[in-house]
Amino acid sequence: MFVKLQLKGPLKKYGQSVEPFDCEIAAEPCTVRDLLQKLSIPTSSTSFVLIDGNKADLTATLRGGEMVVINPRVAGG
Amino acid sequence: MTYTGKILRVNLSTGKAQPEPLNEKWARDYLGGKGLSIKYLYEELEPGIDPLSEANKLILMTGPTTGTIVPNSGKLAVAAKSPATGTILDCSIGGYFAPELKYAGYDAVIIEGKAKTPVYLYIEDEKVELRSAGDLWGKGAHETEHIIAETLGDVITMVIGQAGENLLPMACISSELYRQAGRGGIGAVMGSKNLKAIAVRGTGGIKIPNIRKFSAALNKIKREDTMTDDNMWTYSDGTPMLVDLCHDSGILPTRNFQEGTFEDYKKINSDAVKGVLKAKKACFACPLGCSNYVEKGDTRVEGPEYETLALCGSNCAIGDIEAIIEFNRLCDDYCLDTISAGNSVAFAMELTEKGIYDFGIHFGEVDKYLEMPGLIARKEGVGAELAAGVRAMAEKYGGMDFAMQVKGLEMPGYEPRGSWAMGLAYGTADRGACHMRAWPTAVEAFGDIDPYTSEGKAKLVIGMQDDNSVKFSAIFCDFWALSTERMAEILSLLLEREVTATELTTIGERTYNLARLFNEREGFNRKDDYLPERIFSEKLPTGTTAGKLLPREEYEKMLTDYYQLRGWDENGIITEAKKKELHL
Repeated sequence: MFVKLQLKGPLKKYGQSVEPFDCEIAAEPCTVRDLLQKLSIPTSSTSFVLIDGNKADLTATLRGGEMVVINPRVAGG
Repeated sequence: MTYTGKILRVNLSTGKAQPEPLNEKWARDYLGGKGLSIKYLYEELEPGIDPLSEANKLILMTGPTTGTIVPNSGKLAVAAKSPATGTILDCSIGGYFAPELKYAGYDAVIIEGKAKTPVYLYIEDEKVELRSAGDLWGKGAHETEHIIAETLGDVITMVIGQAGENLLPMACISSELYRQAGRGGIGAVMGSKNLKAIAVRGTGGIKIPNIRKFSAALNKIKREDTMTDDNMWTYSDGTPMLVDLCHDSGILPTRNFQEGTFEDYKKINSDAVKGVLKAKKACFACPLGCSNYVEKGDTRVEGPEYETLALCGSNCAIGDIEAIIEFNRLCDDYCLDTISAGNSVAFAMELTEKGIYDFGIHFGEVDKYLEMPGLIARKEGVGAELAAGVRAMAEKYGGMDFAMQVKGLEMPGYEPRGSWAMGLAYGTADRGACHMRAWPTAVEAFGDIDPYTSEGKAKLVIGMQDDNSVKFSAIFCDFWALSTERMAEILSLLLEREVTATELTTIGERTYNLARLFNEREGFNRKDDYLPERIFSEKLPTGTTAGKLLPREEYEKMLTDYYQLRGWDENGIITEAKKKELHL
């Protein structure tokens, strides 16, 4: 199973040069947290996640075919 | 010790400039920057003065980190009583002015009085001169800086444009072409003093107590705590990244805060800015380099930053990145605060579309939109009305419920209906609606904290306000997410004494309370800590915040909690016990 993945800002270094890219995920149940672990992205470096344009948390389940956007944690303003 | 121990006091009425010792006790109690400049203003300004009279003072204040290689220490606090709000006002400006002033031998400059004719102040180490600015008056910031550079050579300048000369409450100060002390009409304070510019050149240095230990510690700190994912978003994208985050969170101000999402957000987001990016730029001693230097045709700016993209973009329904860049350039040259200018234009658009008053401009009208900065700065035509800011416009023409301001300062780019603590932060910010005192949006709208509850929000906002107060006093840039423990470690290396995180938290709290005390003395209290009615009674229509508002009773609860935790009474007045505890 694959999801389309887009990593924002400094998180791009964990992905591929062309985005969004296809990322293989394990068979169900696979959560966003599992996806981050597979890509070695620390959860402390992320803020919210979008799945098909909707906000989701790290426990959301992926079933394949979704568009997933991972945003970085930000500070300042 | 990294203080020079010397302040330069310049009286424009008499033309005299005199160095004097830094008040060491105050420096210990408030460090520098925000805190120390507020302390000097609190002690030296008479209550009730007209901010545009010669009784007001303008303070440029460095901090103990200024001029060193401490990361993100390149900012300068610029403070006065605000012409926009009547509150205390401290702004922060980046670039290279602050270290240059320190190398000239001064921790601060206090400017008093009013020159009879336009002048500019030239500081080169001990040499201090007031020079005629007759030929500079009426010119924009860019031309003014170029002429001064041609005259004086290698100097760093801070200048005002036509907006400051015309005493606009949204006039800012500009430095090095693209950097601004933006908010609250700080540029009008310079204008009211007939002070067109300040140029500085410093040839001295700063003595670091133990340079070997200091360098080793800083290398470690940079590796562990600065060049990390938490901070590197500022380099990879800079603040334009927030367009996507705010749109996706339903808090991107759109059409004068009528909506929280913008259909053309992809035309003004970070990718759009990267499409015209020429280079990344940084302030002194900054390894992050958040600034995007962009070029489109003959137009060059550092920016647009998120606040400009939001307030002058989506909030005016302008989905044209080239138009926003040009609007940004015009504001920079006239020295207009883009947050306030964008709000005024958007408010005029809504008043026009609602048929309340015809300002002749509608949402999304690019050509008329681009005429506005010039009209505002010169106070011509409808620009004369917009120049007064949204509160004054509403008092004259109506629409106060959707004049997006607090205490007379226009609202930044984070919709409080999708970030309730941000609403509380705006309401309790010392200079009016401001995102720099606390920015809970990062943990509410973008993070794990429920944005739609009043529970725990007072504590959250107070913690952030106190942390930022000490951060801006020390001085560290907002974009370095460092702990008070880390600040204490660095300051201990610089000040030759053990500085603790607890001490810094107290300094932050003392500073925030002193700012409140200044405002109290000017008559501010609970009645002034509210948001525009739109936030309390109009539901957002689109996106993840569809159907959301910030119920007034929930806001009242947050405000009451906030006062209790602060040790203020129910009217927002600091109790005697709290004053005693903080040695105020």
